Amino acid sequence: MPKITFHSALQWLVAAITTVCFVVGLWSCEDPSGVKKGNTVPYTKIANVPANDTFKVYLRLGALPEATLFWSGGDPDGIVIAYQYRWTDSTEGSRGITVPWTTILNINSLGGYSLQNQILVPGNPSSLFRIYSFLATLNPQETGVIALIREIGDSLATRRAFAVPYKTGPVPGDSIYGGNPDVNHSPTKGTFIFGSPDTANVHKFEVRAIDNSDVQDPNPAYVFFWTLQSPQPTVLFASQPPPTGTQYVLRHLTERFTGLRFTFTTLDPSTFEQQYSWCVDDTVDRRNNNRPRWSAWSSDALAIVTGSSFLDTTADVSVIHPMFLRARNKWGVISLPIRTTFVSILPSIDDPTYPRKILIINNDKNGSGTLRDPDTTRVNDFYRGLMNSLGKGDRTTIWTRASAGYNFPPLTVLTKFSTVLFLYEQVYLPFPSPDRARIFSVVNQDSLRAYLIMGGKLIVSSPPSIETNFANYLDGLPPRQPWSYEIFHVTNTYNNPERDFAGVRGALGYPTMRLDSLKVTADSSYAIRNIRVNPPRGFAQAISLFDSRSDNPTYENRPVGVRYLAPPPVPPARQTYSVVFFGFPLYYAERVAVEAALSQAFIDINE
Amino acid sequence: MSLAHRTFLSRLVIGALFSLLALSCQQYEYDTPSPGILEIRMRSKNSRTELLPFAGVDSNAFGFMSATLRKIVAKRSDGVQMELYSDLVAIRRNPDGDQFNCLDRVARDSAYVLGQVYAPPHAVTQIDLEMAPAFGPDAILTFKDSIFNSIELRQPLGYEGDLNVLPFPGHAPFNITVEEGRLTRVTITFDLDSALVRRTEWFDYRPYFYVSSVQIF
Repeated sequence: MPKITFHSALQWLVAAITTVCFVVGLWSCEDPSGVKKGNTVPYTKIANVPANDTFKVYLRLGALPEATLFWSGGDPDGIVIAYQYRWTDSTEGSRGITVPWTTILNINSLGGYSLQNQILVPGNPSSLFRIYSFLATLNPQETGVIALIREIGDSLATRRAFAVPYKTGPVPGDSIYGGNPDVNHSPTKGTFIFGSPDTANVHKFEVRAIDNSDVQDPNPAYVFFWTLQSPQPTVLFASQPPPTGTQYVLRHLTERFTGLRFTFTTLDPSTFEQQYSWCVDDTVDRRNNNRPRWSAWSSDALAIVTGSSFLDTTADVSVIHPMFLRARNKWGVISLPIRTTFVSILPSIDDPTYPRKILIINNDKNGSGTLRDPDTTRVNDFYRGLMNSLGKGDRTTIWTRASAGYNFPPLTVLTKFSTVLFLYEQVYLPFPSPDRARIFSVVNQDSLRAYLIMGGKLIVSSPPSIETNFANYLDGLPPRQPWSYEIFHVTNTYNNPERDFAGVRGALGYPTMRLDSLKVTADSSYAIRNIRVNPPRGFAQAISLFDSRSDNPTYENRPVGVRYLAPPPVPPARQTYSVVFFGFPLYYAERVAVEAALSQAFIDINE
Repeated sequence: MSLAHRTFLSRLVIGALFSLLALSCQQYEYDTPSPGILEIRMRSKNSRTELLPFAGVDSNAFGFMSATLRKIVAKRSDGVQMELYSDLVAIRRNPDGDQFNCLDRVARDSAYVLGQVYAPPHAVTQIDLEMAPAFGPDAILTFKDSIFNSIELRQPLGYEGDLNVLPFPGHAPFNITVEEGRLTRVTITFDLDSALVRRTEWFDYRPYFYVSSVQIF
């Protein structure tokens, strides 16, 4: 046995290492034929939303619960020739229903011609790649291929399976069919309808790629997502007019009548987007083929109700109106309708065909019955004569508070008259005497204000002391303005306590009026005291100026009478109120001038 | 050839080359026109002087309706824009605009100068006027016969902002000429009769402007 020396051992070691390296090198070399050893499996990804287990679609009741999904795939050592997808629908307590795999070829066009129907493959052909390679390599330059492509396209459009038209003839098991364009938008995109029979439904969508070696991705991409049925919204009235108590309603909105306002809200956990629809009296018009009366859906949580919403427009009748309301959420789920009621009256004066009438309210107490201290009969006679002279006597009614238990005419009476002539002729002759007029209380003011808001007209033969009787303390508390400011449109009035008022100088078509010397006699110095200067505000205008007996510049030619005329109406709405406020008791002025003044006032207010 | 001859010859050649160069150039006459001046004035048209008296006409009456002019731009048909400032030497407007009284006598007399600018001779076909009155409960104040009065001015629903592009839709187009070295005075009428729409207790504001006169001096 040869001696093993260090040198020879080193030689052997070098030789061994060399041999190992050679062998390892050979093992690692690629096959000279170019074919790789083995195959790398393809991979698949869900390309976008829904994110796993988070996507929740609210579905309207009875709607098709569809969702669009995207996916993609790749193959490190080849190409993806097809995808397969399926899904499982589950509900609480069920095992779930899994639809079979669907195979869709990864082909977008045939010979450069885009596909109207994606190519799906039924069953399990022996070679998916054979089908793919035939269809993907159709060359329209070759004879007859264009016709073949057209034939394939037509066959796909039938969405029925047919044999793959190989040039060499059909191969058993190799068939294709066209996909539904609404479902299969492309090989990597589809919109699917998921079974959602319950209020909450979970779905697992899976997709896997198949490579050119007919190898499937062993780990399909998947996503869980939920479809939930939207619960029905619950609609509520947030605010409404009081259900008891009569509301006076006009047929159309004006700047002063803003309608009956109902506001709404909903309880809906699925969305904040709701629309509302409402109707008054009935949900259908039974006199008109049951035509629905619901208003158009609107996102405004507000209903403004006018008389035009009513089925019955009989005037001056107190009617209980049901008000119906429903809501619809963004998923189209409509709430159960709810109902409330309110009571309203359509006033006669809102009826354009209603005859025009004038109501004289005599607010005075009875005096001694003399000319200068008249009783109510004398005052009534004075004005009745004036109205007869003006040709309005036959449509004038006088309400004498002293004869009516000092009751003020209720709103139901006021609204039957187009104009109210309000007499408040308290006077102090010849010396301070007891109050000759009934106090015009806040309740009375509210009644007359409501009448005016409905479009009534007002002429006032005022008390000497407007501030005492009209602008009382309570009525001036914020946010309400004093009656005189709000209705008469006068501001910063000031009183002349002296017996200094001898009459007025007219303006804007109104006559000059002097006091009647038979009524305001020498013992009164032919003058009245406590007449106020009434500067107009806003759109009001002075119609008469103070005639100071002493020519006191503080009062002389200062405004006493004021008119406020409404702007022209905007049809179909009626005109808002107009007021002529004379600022002093007309009874004590010369009759001829008073007649001319009233005539002008009626012209101004279109009466 | 002596050095002097060579020097002379070289200068001669250079001179000849310059002469050739000069002769080869063509002379043009450049004609740049002088600018004109474009001036825009405002006139307030107001026939409701009982309610809205002009200020400065009668010592016993005045009206005040504040408006703010933020920008006024004249535009030519070729798209060139010229912004007008308060006078010819101004370089900008106040950051919060220029305030003025629409019920001033100067406005009544078509003498309110809204802006001036030097402008190249051309035709102006559009004027953008960014101007609006003040709104609110006391927007219009009057004093007449020793009585103070205030009237509210509101923006109605659908108010489209303070920019007024003249001519308004439906108005006849204008063709305002700016001429060299001359003053073109354009008067814009602010029609208060149309712009202030009477409501029950207030005015709604609906802007209404139009070019009412063009004078060239």
